[in-house]
Amino acid sequence: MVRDTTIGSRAFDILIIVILIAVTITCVLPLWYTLAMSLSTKSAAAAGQVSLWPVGFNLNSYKQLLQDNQFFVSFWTSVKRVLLGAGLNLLIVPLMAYPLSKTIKDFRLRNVLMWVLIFTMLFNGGLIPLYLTVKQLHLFNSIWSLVLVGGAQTLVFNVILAMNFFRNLPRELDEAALVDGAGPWYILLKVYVPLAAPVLATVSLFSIVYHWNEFLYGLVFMTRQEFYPLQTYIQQVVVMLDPSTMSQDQLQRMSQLSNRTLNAAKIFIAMIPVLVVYPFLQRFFIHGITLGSVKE
Amino acid sequence: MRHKKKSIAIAMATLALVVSACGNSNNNNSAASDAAPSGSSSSSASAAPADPFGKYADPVTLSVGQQVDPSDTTLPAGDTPDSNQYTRYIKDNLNIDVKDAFTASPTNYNQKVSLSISSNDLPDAMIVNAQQFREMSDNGQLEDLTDAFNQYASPELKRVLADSNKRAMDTVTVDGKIMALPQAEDAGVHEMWIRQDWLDKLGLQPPKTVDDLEKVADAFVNQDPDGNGKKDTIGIAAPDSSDASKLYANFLESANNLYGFDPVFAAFDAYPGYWVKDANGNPVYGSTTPETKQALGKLAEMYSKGLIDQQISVRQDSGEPVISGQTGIFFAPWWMGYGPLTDAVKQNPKADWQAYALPLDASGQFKPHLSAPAGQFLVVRKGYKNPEAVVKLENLLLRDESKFDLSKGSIGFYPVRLALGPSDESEFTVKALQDVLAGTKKPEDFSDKPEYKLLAGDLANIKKVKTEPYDKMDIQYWNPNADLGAWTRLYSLMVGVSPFMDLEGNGVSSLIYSQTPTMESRWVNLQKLEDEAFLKIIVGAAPLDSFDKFVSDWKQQGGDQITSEVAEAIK
Repeated sequence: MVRDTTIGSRAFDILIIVILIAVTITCVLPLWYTLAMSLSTKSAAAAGQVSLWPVGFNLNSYKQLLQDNQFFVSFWTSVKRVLLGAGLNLLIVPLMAYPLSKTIKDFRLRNVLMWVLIFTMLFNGGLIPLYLTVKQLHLFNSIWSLVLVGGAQTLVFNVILAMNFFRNLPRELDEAALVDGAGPWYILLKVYVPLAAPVLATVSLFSIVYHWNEFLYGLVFMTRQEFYPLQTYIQQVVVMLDPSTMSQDQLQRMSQLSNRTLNAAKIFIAMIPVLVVYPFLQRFFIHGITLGSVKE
Repeated sequence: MRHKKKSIAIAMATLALVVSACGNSNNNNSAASDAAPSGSSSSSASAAPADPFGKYADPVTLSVGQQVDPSDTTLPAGDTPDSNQYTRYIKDNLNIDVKDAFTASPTNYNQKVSLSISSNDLPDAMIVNAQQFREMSDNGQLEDLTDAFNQYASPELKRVLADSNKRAMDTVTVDGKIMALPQAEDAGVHEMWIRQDWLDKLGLQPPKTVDDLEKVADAFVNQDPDGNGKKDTIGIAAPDSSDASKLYANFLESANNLYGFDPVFAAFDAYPGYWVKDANGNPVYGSTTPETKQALGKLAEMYSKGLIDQQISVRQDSGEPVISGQTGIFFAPWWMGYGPLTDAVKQNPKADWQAYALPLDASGQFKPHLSAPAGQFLVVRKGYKNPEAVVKLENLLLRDESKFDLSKGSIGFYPVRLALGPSDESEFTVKALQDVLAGTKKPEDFSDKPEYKLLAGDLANIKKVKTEPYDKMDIQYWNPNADLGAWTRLYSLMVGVSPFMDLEGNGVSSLIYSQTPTMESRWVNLQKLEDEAFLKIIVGAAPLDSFDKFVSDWKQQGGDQITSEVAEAIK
């Protein structure tokens, strides 16, 4: 590779590096701020004195957090949800993407099915019909309401991503396997799936992040707080309350509830799992999404 | 308007169709539990004379929507939101089995209730807000509580609701029928909180008029009241970017506005956001009056001089500079101990925040606006067999609330608890505290007042946190560290409530605290128009005379029609 060493190009490189550093800082700063907040004293946090360094360093929030049973119950609910949701996603995506990657000659209903899928991507019934459906299915307070409803809503996008990836694989592979006497199951499991590792890692990552971070369905489908997944649990303690409609003893309880340092500790702990998983899947992530996007 | 009603009716009919299937399963669910009591208990209820505390012969099941605070850890191990000291007490005394249809945190409770209303998947009883109450009332989802209340309400409950809080009772009476039980609390008034230690240091008096206020704020900004040699102080706090903080409380959100300018407007006899009567007795929207324009002019002037927080409506939380000791004056209700002041005193034990019913208007009076009579309502699902059970629940609460041991589960776990108190609760408490401190009365003298539910505890705690001399309220005469929880409440009461002890009758109510039909479609936009116009005037981005343009725009965009609807509604 020939290096361009003119001043203009050097300057351009430096500019890019500066921009990237700035972008990195804007990404890391909120995380750092949350950490600093969680390690500060309560009154310093309420006075807005915490910026980049903890004021009155202490671990009280984390000690307090350890005693919060519900936090860990919800944490476990979220872990189960992610394992079931991402697992199911990983199972269904190749099974759907493979037939849909075939041409209409091989699979007559392909286009009809595609239209149905895309229709569900663009339009949906809204929250109340969804609520009634889940109620009719007797899935309230069940982990499956989170796994299935959330999973179904992200499935189509993942399937299309995987389908495009499959279509980009050389048709010759398919034909060679057929000639050698392989059936569709064999081709899918032994030829396509091993080759599709990048895209499957990508859709898994999407699924994991989605199931971990999604909080609305937890709120809607769970009638009791002990069933809440982690992000729903955190959302309910972090969001600011509007005191204009509260009664006086609710206000009294709110004043005890308002605890920015503890909330920061909760948020920080909740971020860790995704932060841990990300680096391992990230290289597939970038690779996979571009691979699926271009069609020859 | 008629059109709108029709389309709502159609929408409701459609919804009913959609929901009917669900309704069946709902019945199935509750049928098992309802089947036993429904037949027998209704007969036993009609046979027995109406006893407010009568125990059912057969258990009655009541499913409720319950607010549960996730950070409330007072329940002992093994107890749950629907099995705790309160539910057991209710079971033992009334033979009512309370089940939670859903629980939700204070943050999410409203959303959960709205979902329950629009899907018609209702618990037997729950607490709703004003908007939800109206919606349910229009939808015909409410059980008529007239008979249940008249026959079963205990004398105390009737005293608290029907006598002491008649305004609240009026709001739940639809076509002469009682459709809900309202919350009953005394209305908080917005007042001025000021750093007394700064005033003393600069040799100033609490500002009596708006002109005084301007002078004091000027001194707070320019004369370095905190003595750190830097010009970093804020004269008057301004509303921040959160929903809890508005330029002024309005008729829909009439209580607990933090860091607004409510008393400043009132000093100009202006009641923006409220529906008031003009000189001819016709309803007029307070934000469109010349008095409001005058007040805005003054605020703009103070802002341009730097006396009002320059980060108005941008700052994330105006409580922060109060806590860190930068702010000198802010306007808020009495309960500021529960607001920023506890942290402020932790940061600086000498921060001496005192409250005053100031500034006064031209005639030397303080005329605050009064909040809506009730913000929360206990409703019963239409078709529930034992509506009187809900009334009995509140009877029991009002009689025995002060007897419970709160360390075994805070009062928030009492099923569908309404905040019930005489309309003079905080004033009465302050008077009692003053009498006990002065030695003219003893705590035992108040033992016959169960409806003042926190009074006994307050009287027991006051000498723990208040040091002598008992008639001085400055911070050095308090001992917050003795019991911070008690101090928070008692400081709020003694400092925050005392200023408006003798303002009775001076307050200004809105003619209406609910929306009219046209408001439902137009109000969001009109409110936005108003907020933007007023904020621009205050920060100087628009001249004061743009107020006149706002008024004509407001009238054109539905304001006139709404005004005539309001006139119709209050006839």
